[in-house]
Amino acid sequence: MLKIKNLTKRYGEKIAVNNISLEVESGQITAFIGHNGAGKTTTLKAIAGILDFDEGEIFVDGKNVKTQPLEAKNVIGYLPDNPDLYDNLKAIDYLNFIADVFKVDKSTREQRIKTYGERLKIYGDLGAPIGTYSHGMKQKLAILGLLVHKPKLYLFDEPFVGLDPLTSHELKLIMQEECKNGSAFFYSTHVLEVAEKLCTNVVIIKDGKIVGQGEMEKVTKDESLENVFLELEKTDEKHN
Amino acid sequence: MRNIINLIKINFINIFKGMFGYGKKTGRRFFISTIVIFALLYFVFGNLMDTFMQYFVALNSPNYIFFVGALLSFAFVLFLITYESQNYFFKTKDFDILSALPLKNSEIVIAKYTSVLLSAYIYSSLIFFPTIVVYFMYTPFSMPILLLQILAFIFIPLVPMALGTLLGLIISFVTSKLKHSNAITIILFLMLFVAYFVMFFYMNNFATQIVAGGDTLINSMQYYLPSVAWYFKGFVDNEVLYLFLFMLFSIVMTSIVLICLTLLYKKINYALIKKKLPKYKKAYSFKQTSSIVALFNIEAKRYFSTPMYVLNSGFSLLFMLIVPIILKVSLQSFFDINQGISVSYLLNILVLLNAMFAGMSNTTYASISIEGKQINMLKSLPLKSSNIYFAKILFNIVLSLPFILLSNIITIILFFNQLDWFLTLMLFVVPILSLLAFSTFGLVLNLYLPKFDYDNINQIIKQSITLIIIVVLDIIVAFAPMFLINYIQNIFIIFGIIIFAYLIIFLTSLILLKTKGENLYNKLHY
Repeated sequence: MLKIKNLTKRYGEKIAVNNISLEVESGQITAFIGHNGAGKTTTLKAIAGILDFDEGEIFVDGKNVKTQPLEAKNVIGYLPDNPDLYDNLKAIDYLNFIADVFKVDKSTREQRIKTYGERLKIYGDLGAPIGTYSHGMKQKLAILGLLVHKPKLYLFDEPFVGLDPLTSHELKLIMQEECKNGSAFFYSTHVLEVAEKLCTNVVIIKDGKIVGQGEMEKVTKDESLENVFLELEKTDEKHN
Repeated sequence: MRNIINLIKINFINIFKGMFGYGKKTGRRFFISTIVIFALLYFVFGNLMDTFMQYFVALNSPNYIFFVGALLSFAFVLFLITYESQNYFFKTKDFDILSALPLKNSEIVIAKYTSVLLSAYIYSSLIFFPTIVVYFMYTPFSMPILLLQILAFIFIPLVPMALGTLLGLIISFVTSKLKHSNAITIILFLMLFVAYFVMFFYMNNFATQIVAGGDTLINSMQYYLPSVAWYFKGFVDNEVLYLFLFMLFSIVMTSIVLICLTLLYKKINYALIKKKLPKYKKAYSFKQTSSIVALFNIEAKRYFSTPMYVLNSGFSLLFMLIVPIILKVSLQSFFDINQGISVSYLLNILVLLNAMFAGMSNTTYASISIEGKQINMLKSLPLKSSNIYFAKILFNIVLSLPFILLSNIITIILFFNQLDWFLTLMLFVVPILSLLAFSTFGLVLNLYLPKFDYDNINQIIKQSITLIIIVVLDIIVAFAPMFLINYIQNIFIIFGIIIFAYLIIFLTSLILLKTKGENLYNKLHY
């Protein structure tokens, strides 16, 4: 579903992402973990087509993100770490806008908005302007906006930040359901306990380079993900 | 005191970095553009004051130019500060942070007031400095008079600044309680603007009445515009009592407003922030449309929800409707003053003015920047950049075109007997071409000069480099032919040149969008 080959992204002289390669298959939930400034958001934005990159290739469902951007974006759902949505729109108008862009027909969008809106406990407030929403509600709305068009690849940047426990639990269930339907999730997070329980795979990035990746069980072995992560951070410091 | 100075420093850094950016290159570019636009504005206002001065010199009363300068400066600052002050005191991003710090309300308010006062001085200088220059063009230079007027200038913006802030406070508070607060704010400001414009237009007659009325008129003005009357009596007629009265009054008014703001600052901000989720009674609509229509709707909703955005282009659209009416109403008095100018000459100027207003009603100069942080979300969607551009340009055209057509219908009705087929055709062709040219050019400009990291929407709507370039180019393209009219008597050639200029801008912009639009879009990110 997602194939990254030798991705490099520079901001001037600083190399934010340094020659990384990874794959995410359909049905997988992959956690993308790393310290602040490691290159997680840059990688996610490059996949989503928001940022141009200097070297390498990214394929989403077989489509090259650079040469076939519209085809690739058609199967991607991107959730930013801070959901900056159109404050002046009503939530329902925003959802209709997203559905129009992805050409979701009237009955399908209605059914999905109702179903997932109720599960995320936001359906009753969709008539309100987004500017009146709290951060958590904007996060819910942004998630709902992805579920309206059901992408094949979900790119989440810190999806659980700002969500109440009930919604977090519901989101995890939705992620597992979507995976069973063949979608894939690639999400960055600092909440390692959740990642350990929820994810099938993990990619660890440090200073723009991948320092560990694979199936969760194989990467963590008998240790916690947190310990593995801290060990990898320490190892690199010793080498430096 | 130390806190106030630190807050003022932070405010100024924020304002200037917001305007000039963090890069030396962009900063230098914006600085030069700002100098150019200010030079242009000083020139325009200088010419205006020169027109008044000629009346006063002819009537042997040159000193009255200072009265007109002070009065216009008062009205100008009052209007603009009422408009601007709301964005500095209320619903600001720094409210939470400042409230959590060990700072007194008075310290926060004084610092913010000082920031807005800078704007007031700049607006006031646009009228008052040219007034001083024009005065000395017609009278022998006198250092004492110059120094006195410079001293007066320190106090002149204070009263309209205080009143404008109070008005802005009232409007903010009242409209926040109303359902369609944005629409009401827009209508209120447009009404204020119309009133200001009508007053300004009739200053010609008023100037004669000032001289005829003399001291009697000035004395009677003390009751409703005391600061202007006392300024004139103190700093021009050299009555020492009124000099001190004017300065004292300015300081007292400022102090009263600062005290009111200090007492109400947090209360009003809390009232504005505290908003329950509104109850939505209608059933949700799930109507499907095309992505272009969806993008167009986003543009429209964002435009009408942002009063500053509406007012920025709204003034020009309103001018288009008002100017033909005022021209007709004041036609006879105009000809009494300006003999040798024909109606058809004025109608030619009207065509060019409408073209200028059509250019100034531009919304695309900020339509990329206004995406702000949403640009990332937009870029992650499967949308062709050409569709995004088309929706933005289309919105500008759909907004302005009805005003152009309505203005032309008004002109045709009012000047039916004076319009020939050629001029009637130009009434439609020239402004529409200007609209097409500037709506595409504005977008190209904003693609090359985007700014997404703004704290205050003013930074991209009123203080952006793209706006400056659009305004300057619009004025040049519209006004340059007005000078040519004196040298090239053939009106077909004049309009041919103008149409050619607009076509060049339009086609060049289209070619740039077609060839570089995709690349420019790919480079955008927050």
